[in-house]
Amino acid sequence: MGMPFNADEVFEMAEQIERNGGKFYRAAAKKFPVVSDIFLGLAEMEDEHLKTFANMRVELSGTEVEELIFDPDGQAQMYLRVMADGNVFDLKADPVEQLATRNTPEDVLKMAIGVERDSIAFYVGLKEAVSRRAGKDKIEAIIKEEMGHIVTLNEKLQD
Amino acid sequence: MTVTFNAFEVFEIAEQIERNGTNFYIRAAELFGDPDTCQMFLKLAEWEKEHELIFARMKQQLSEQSRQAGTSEADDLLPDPRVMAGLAVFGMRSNPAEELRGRQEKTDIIRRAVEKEKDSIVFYHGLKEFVPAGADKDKIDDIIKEEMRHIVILDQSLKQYE
Repeated sequence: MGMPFNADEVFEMAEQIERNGGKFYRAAAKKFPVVSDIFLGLAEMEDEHLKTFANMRVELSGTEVEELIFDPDGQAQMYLRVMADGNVFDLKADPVEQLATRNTPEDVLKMAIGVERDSIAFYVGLKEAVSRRAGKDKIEAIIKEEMGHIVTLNEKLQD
Repeated sequence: MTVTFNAFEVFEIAEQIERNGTNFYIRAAELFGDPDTCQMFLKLAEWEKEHELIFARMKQQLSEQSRQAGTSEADDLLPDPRVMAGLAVFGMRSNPAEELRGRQEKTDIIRRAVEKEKDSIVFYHGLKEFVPAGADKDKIDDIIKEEMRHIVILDQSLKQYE
């Protein structure tokens, strides 16, 4: 299995998740004006997350790997490696293209819940793998916000 | 209107997630002729069964605490029930046997299993927020780590079939 953990690589991946999220929500807002307020609000929040991860990456560049990791059994790093390999979590898929097959606001809301779920699944692994020094608390705060997005999307779906 | 859940119901959903996982893996094992993959699915089913028992014990403890406090289970409100209502969508997916009907492509089955594991990780991370620090929180953390390990195992298997 490809190892070891590379902080730059995983934070870049987190940035890409947020970049995809913002792009997805903006395209969804354009396609379905009836739910555009929600989607544009979520897009702005994903932009903020992107900035947070980008800042973390800059702050942590040059830090010794040993200082960044708290993962005694290496399980979280293996999980991140699997996610980064793209086999079970495809970051290269264009979210706007995926949107092309969704024809109703309901379909898009469901897809958005899946997008948020994938982000959280990755960030939970990231949080498990890194030390406090590497920003565990910031990652937890972003996870909470992504959970809040799921709440918003789910409530809209039930309207 | 948003449906909300009390703490007792949230543990019931966690049990249901694990029950669905067990049934899914048992059914998946039946669909694979290769003994190694079949064994992998049966082992995953066994681990999910163990998780179900852990959540059942937590639910029982909660029930006993409510009884001792003279309150009903329905009174065990979550600090923010909206969050778990949002996440509950991951615990209320379709019947696993139905999911695998007509879905015979091996890589599709393994990918579906990965999706189920992701659902579990996200739901349990939300659940953990509502459990006081201590033994139960640690147990949920352990279960999350085990679900991550399942994804690693499934990914290795997926590579064999691609």
